Amino acid sequence: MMRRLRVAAAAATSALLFSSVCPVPAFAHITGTAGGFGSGFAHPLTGPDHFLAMFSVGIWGAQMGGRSVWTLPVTFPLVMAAGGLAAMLGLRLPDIELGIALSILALGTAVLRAWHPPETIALLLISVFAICHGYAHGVELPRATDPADYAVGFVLATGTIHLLGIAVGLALLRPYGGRLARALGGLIVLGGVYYFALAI
Amino acid sequence: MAIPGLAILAAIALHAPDHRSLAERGALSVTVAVGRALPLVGLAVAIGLAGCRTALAGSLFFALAACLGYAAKDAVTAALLATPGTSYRLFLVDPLACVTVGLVLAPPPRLRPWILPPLAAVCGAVIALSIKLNNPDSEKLGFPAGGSVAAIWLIFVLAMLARRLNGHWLHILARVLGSWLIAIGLLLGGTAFVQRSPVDTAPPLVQPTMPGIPEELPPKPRKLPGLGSPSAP
Repeated sequence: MMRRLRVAAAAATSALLFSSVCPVPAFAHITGTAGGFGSGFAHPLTGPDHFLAMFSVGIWGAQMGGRSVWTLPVTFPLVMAAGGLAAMLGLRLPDIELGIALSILALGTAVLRAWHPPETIALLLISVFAICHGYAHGVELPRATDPADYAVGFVLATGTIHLLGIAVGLALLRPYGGRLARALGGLIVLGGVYYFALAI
Repeated sequence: MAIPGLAILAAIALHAPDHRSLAERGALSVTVAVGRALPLVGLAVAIGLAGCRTALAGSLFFALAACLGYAAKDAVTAALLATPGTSYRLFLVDPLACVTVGLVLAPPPRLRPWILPPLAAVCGAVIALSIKLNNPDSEKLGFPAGGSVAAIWLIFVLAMLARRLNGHWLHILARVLGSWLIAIGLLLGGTAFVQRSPVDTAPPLVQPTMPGIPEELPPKPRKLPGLGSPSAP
């Protein structure tokens, strides 16, 4: 086990060192605010509404346990890509900001109540919210300096936030009977209320 | 083999771009370009987690199809561009590779022995086509040669790493990676169809100010009736 961890750590360090010497394109651009990979990667991380929703998907999956630990984070990016495509192709979806705010509220509540619905219901729910988040990212894409790298960046960031949520959810599952995870859900709900108030 | 390969790639990356040989450019184009590197990473994980026979079959199919992709590049390009206004199809090559490898990783592991070899072949052909399409000098083989060596190195090193780390958690991570690859492929493909929004108005030019010169021009003199231009004698 320790040997595997050492191998994994060595691989991650090597990849990091290699990426640091790779040529990085200039970020100068005249139009739009979205750039390339860095911009796409930063978008979900620096947008608190996106971050809270993705994070709570990971925690909720960890709370539900079993297959849901990974089926939720596997389904979300796929449906999110569909939402992004819809935006890129010019389809109009109403009240996306409201949908994003509702996603934070609903997912935060699910974590707070440690809700264990059937897997199909959970997947349907996150699919609806994934469309909203994907659409919001997809709107930015055409204006990005490098849309392809921007798309890769935000998908990888989304997945990273999910994995972070899973790790935190699994870590908080045992202490105090899972109450810490539920308290975190309560904080997420407060964030959802804030964004809901902004969106109305 | 991983560290020497990384060292060589780092040395190439630090080399000034105009001093790089075609082979070096080919190697960088495979390892740094997201559309080509990510499918190779995914394929390496799939091969590493597969049984020996499946891994061997997948690798062989990938290599054979890559050779076919190199040989048939002109015919495939001509077929893709047969209809006017279809040049965007050439941009679908990398997304197709991402989606193909994603379809290998996302399904349950018990299906992998059946789907890895044929989809590895599709991936090999598509990656080879992508490398050839990006070759700045179609007469010379340095670019595809460098790209091929880099691709083989990347797959071999990551597959060996995946074999060493083999565990239940890695199979789950592989399925997550598969879903990411499908999502990335779909979005990359979508960007080929995206009509870039027209450039918004350029930011206003800032007039430089100099001491002694007023920022605003004096008002235009009024034209008096019957006297013509104010500047007329």
